[in-house]
Amino acid sequence: MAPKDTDETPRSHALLIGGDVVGTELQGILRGYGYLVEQCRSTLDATRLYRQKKQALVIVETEVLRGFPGRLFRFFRMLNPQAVVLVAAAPSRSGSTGTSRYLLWGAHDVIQLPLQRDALNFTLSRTSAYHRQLVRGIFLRNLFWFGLAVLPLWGLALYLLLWNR
Amino acid sequence: MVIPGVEVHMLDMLMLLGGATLLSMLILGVLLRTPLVRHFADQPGHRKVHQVAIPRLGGVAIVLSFLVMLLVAHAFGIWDPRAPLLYSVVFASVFLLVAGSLDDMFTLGYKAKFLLQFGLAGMVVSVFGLSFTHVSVFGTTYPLMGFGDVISLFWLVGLMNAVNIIDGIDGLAASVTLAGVTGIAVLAAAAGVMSPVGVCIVLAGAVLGFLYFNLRRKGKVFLGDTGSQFLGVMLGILTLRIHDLPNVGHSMLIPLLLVGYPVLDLSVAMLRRFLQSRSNDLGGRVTSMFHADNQHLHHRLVYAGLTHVQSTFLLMLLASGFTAAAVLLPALSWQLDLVLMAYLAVAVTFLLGRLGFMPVAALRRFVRGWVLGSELPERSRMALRYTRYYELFNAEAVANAAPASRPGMAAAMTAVEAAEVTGEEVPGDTLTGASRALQDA
Repeated sequence: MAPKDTDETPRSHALLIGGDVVGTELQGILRGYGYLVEQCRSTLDATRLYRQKKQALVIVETEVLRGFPGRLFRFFRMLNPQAVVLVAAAPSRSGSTGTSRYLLWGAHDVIQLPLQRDALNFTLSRTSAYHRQLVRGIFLRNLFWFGLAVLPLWGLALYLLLWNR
Repeated sequence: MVIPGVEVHMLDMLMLLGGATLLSMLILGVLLRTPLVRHFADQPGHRKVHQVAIPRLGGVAIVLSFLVMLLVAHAFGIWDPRAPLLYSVVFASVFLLVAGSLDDMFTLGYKAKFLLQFGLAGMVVSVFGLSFTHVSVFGTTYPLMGFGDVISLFWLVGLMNAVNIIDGIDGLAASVTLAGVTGIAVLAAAAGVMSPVGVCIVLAGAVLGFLYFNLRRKGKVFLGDTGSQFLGVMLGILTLRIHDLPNVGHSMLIPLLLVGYPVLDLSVAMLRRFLQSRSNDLGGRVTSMFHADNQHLHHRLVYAGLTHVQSTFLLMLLASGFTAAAVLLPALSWQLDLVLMAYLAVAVTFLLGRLGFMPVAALRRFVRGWVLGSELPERSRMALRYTRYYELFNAEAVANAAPASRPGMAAAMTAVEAAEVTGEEVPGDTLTGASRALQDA
């Protein structure tokens, strides 16, 4: 079940790369999980969009993958080491061996097409929980370092203003 | 608290602060119930981080409440009525209200906006006499003469645009302004000059009232260009005013630190664009520094998934650090000032690195290509060569091309995509034919 979303819920960004199958169905589902979704139809547009926003979640349809996708997956993680890359693939003739090669090349998981709700919910709920924890960690870590950098300045300023007149 | 020559009561200051806050909230509450809401709506866009249209009425409410409370403070005799500061802020407020309304009605171009900004800055400097007159370097003061007026002109215009640029997420421009005016008020009060303190308190109250509407979930309001430019010019005028105070001592560092965050964001953005520019000549690189994008400090935090409030809080911490440093500088010797500035430089560099703003690869490429003149590695040259084609052969360009050109362009797009992932060279005739087809389209 998708978590309850409020306006103040930290929102990770998701990038969908593919055609109508990926776009239409998955957009609504991902929004329900609290993602801000952008879609494009080619890996070329995807690299341009990804350079701008470095989305936390990338779902790419195998139909748009050209050549060796490992380099593309490495590109995503080079810009955002915590990015989760999922591949949406129709069942291949070689069975699970065919789709598992994407895991070998760097994808985190494979989403079966046509979309199966139970399996998809399991994958997305796990991924969205990971991203929520990740964002919380990013905020707390930055809060720590920003506070640590600024605290000596404020401490000294308050000391001079209040005690050392 | 009693200041020689002017009787000031803390209660009066608190009442001014509270009055400005309530008045700002009241004005905004009334404006949100008028048809102006639809007329002044800010629509979502590719460089925006909001998803629905939001009214841009915050600036109008801040300016109106600011002007009214200034009148109230004048009626209570808190300021010397001959103070050039009072007249300059009133003039700037009215000017920006009118200019902002003109912009909203006629959508002025950037040249007209610059003209108006320079006009306003020129009036503040020449008519009201607020400018940098001297500069202090390592304890020695030097007169600036005519250069001071020119620097002051660009200081005011620069701040108006810098605050406008950082106004990208909820509460950021307003919070950074609050941090700045807090420092200005502390420095002015320490020097015993209450005129800037009063202006800072009224401005802070007006901004606080706006923040209530800006940070809430429903019925949100944006600052708008009028508001962000108003906050920028107020910071500029106030920093000019306190520049010749005894404790500030004509230091250029203190005004820079008081507006540290907008200056930092603007500087980092321009440096990043210069280093990452794909242009082959210096003029192109310099021009690219002024291209708008969505890679500012606040964008990085929001794209990482943080809410606007979380991002604003972190960046306000940074701004408050600059303010604390500005307040500390007058109390320290120049040697300790150097130590303080060194600490600040290291801390800011570290924090920028945490936000991913150390373009090491771009800097390395720039140094290698422009300074040393050496060859780039094969992969970098390939990426640079195909950058132009990435911009030409995208799905939208293919869809919009003439029917006869589409197969050639689609083939070029496929080939460039393949090169992105395989690292292989794209056949030259494929690119040439598609480029010709694009030009003919």
